[in-house]
Amino acid sequence: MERLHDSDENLMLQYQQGEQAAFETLYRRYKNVLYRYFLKHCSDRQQSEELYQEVWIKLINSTKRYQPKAKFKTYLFTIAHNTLIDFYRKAKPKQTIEFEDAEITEDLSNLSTSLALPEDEFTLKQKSKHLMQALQNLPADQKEAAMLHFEQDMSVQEIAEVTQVKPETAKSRLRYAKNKLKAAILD
Amino acid sequence: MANDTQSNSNDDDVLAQLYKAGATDIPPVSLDNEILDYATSAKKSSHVGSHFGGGWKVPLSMAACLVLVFGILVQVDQSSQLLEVPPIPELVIPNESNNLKLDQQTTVMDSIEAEEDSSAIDGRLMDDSFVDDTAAGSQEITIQSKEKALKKVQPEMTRERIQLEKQIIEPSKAEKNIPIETKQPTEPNRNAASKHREVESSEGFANKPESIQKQTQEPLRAEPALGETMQRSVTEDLMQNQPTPDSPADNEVKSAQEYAPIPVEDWLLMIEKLIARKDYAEAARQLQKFKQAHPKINVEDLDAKIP
Repeated sequence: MERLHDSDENLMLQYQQGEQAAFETLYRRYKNVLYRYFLKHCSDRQQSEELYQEVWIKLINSTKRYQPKAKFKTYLFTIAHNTLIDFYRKAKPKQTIEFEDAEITEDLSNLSTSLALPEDEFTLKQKSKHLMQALQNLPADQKEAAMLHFEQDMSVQEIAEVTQVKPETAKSRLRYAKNKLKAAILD
Repeated sequence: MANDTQSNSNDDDVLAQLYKAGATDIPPVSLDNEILDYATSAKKSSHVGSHFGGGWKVPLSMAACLVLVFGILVQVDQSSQLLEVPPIPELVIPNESNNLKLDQQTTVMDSIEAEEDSSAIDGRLMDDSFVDDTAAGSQEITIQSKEKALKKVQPEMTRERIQLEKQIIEPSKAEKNIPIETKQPTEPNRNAASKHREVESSEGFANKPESIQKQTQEPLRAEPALGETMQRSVTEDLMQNQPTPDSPADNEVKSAQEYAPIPVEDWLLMIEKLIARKDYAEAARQLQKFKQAHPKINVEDLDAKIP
């Protein structure tokens, strides 16, 4: 029970000292979000599982070198981001270019309508489905920024750290992603 | 402006809730187990590795070093034993027990050197009337230098043999007119002292009075060796009044130099000569030795000649 209140960084340090249970706790905290992170970026489930597994292996192997300078989730998703970039570079060079050079071409200035949560569960599920489809259609960099923001409540600064870009770039990506998702739901 | 910010945060909340409602995918349990197993095994191996590095690496490497060093030392010891030089014989330190022997040896060596020097001077000083003596001296030098070398090997045993050889060789040479080997003054191994004496003698020694000549010669001829006194007397006696030989006698000289066993005929001839010169004591002594050496040979006729 005590481990549930430990910070991610403490758990990682405990695992560094050889406590297996600390890693299990840490794994349970991040396994789903990380799995979905790859699932949204890869159309192939098997491929996303391989990448997911690869990230955890990288984390385990780099345990000795870990120093709690930044948040653990930033550290973990930085590994995930780099793994994804490597994957794109190897398998899908076109998509990599898209990942790096995505531009906002759509004018979303007319989206002034506020969103509201649907009252019934069915409508909520329908809206959620539309959002996921819209997310899937987003450029990779915007998709990543939106996922990190919605899944992990990461700030623009944290997103910039994970994706290794300037905060302004991360902020812009996140803003355009939100507007696209908003437009998809309103439609 | 405030309304825009509020509406944006509201939209974020709605989008986040809609996203979380749709994000239901979870990794398969098998994948979870694989990753957790890997984490466990990796930690165990790294833990074992660190334990090895911290606890066992140093003692193990030290043990390996010790084994290597011990092996090398054993190897070096064995090789040094193989290359070991046989022990050098101990030097004899003079003391009460061996003082006499050392003194005798020193005296003998000194007398030989003095004899060489004096003979050289004699050779230079002698006029025609002393050529015989010079020849005898130089011959004696050759024999004595051999004797000197031999003494180192067989100090006691060969002394009498050398004496006998001299007694045999000298008269026989005299009879056969063997030419005399004169020692050349330019011989390289002559020492500075003898050269100095040579110069001195050649320049003015001949003009000096007899008393001075005797004084000069005496120290050089003084102190004959213990065992050499008799030998020299016999040799000099044999050489006295003998004409200077002209023909080469290399064979006999070589035989003397090589210290070959004395032939029976020579020995008997030498005894006969001793009897002829009426040196009965020496003749008897030699005859006695001959009998001991060759008991089967009949020498009654010689025995009868000795009174």
